[in-house]
Amino acid sequence: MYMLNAWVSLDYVLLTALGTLLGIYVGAIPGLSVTMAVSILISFTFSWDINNALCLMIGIYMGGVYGGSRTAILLNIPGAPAAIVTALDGYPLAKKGLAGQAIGLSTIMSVIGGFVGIAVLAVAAPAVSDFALLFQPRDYLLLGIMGITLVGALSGRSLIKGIFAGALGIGIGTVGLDPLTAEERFTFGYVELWSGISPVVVMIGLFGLTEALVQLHNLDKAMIKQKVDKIVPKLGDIKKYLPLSIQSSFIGVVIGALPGTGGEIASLMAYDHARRVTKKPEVPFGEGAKEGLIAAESSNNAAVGGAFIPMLTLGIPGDAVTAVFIGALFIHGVNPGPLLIETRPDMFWFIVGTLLLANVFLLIFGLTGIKVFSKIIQCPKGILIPIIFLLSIVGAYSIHNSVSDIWWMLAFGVMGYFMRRHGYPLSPIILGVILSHLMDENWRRAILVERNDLGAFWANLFSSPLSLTLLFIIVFVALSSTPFWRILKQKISRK
Amino acid sequence: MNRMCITSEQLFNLLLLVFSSFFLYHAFHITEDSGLGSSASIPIMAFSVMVMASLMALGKSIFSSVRPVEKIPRAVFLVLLMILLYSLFLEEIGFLISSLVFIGVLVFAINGSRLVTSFALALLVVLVTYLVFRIVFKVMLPEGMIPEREILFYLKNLFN
Repeated sequence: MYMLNAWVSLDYVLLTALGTLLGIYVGAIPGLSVTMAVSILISFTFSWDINNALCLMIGIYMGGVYGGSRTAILLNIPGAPAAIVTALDGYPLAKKGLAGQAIGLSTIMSVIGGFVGIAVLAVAAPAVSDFALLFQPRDYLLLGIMGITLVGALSGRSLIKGIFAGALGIGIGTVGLDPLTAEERFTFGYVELWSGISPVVVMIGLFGLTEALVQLHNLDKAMIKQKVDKIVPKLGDIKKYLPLSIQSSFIGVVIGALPGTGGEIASLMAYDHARRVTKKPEVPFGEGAKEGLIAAESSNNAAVGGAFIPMLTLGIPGDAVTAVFIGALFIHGVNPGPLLIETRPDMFWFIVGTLLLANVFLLIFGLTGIKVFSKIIQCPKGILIPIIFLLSIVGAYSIHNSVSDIWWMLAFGVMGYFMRRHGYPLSPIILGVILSHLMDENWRRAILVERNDLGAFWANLFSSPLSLTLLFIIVFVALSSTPFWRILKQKISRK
Repeated sequence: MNRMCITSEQLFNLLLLVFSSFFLYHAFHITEDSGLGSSASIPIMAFSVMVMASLMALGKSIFSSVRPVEKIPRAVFLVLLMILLYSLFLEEIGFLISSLVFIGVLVFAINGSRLVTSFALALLVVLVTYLVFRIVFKVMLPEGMIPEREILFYLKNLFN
């Protein structure tokens, strides 16, 4: 019944529709990312009712993941990382004059993937949540470390830089008065810093300003025009590719549910799966195989539903966008975690209902308005980027109606820009900021339970199968990103 | 050219090391309590990890082969300067005028449009932004020199 709340109010329906439409354009325009849009938007929805804010943000997330495929197909420029694999076969199809068919097929398969992801979320989340009630404080600490390590290892080329970024996020998150003892941490005597640095400012700086500054490097990339027609796919085609779409969706939802992964890795794995199971494709993979397009698009949209599972049940964001979502929920007084489904079932089912609604709008907007879309995405970056700067500034200012938030945003934007230049990933920073409170609180609870005895802490950790599993995953992820792992693998394969 | 690239990466990693060490030093002075569950424990752990990681990154940048780093476009410096100026004058001048100048100058400089076109476009962008955020979303934006409330009140009366 709670799920229906998302469908009966005209406000919610309109906001979800608006969000999905905006998301498709945001996701499609290279240089604009879903994370950037959601980060900037959060600051404007502070005073809103939480359900209204969620409708808009979920719509943007859902639409944005799909929207990236449009430019990947039409221009060979993936609008979002999750659409990189889409371009492999989508663009060759467009070059053959089949852009309309490719967009139509990718829309239908994205919607199927979306539905599979949401269904798994609805079924699995309550079970995961019940299981999470067994977690001890040390398990939450380990989960936080695991999330940051995974994101650090997967989002950049260097594990060291990823870990640095995650630790920096935790450090930023500790600025302000300690919530337990009210001792000042890194405030340097400034009363303004007592309440800490707003995560929203960090998000706008890192994902709004930094992204836009990076885009200034590629101002002169020319846009290519494509012929777009016959968008609605044939029923026979849908039936033919449905089994592959469902298989890819399940890959997407499982990968999406792992902290630190997301649509990008999900689509890569699903593409690899499609290559292995498709014995005789009509066209080779990489030259316009519809199977490749279907696998990529089904899996990256299914990953959205998957990403909500750890976020809503454990309070651990799966990726940068869900980290921003957690920030938004905190601001609105909702604490995602194992108790969410028990204490706020309305909230959980409202999110599921909104995701479903956004998926329906995805189908509608995905198959219509393509011609207008083709014109809008040709808007020059030289005009688009100054608008992003303006929105970032207004977003930062509106948090506390204070210019100092613009300076913080500027500082984080510049820092993020130089970190990106030198190969430091930014997603672990925001994950660290969001998780620092959880890690701080649970570390202190865990060590107080053991009466400040580190030996007892480790002894209990090793005697608990759950804690040991989490520790094993952390060590495995960390080791598998080091050169030692490659050497070990080479030695094993030689034997 | 290559020498510059090496210096840039090494310098950045060195700056991160100094930054991390500075905050690690301050983390040790957060509290008198030396217990493992004190308010300083997580900050000490986080900044210790940062010191170690930045040290390793610095070492790697010294001993490994050079990674080419793109030259920073002049537009980046212009944008940063414009944001700084914008934040300094926003409350004095107000959202409408400062945003008009901000967007106009940036579109002129980055997109290479004619001055009149740039400012016409900027006017359109600022008006749409104002309409969406100030009127629809009720976001407070600094008024500055333009008596916005009086103008809005006057416009409201015109239609009543």
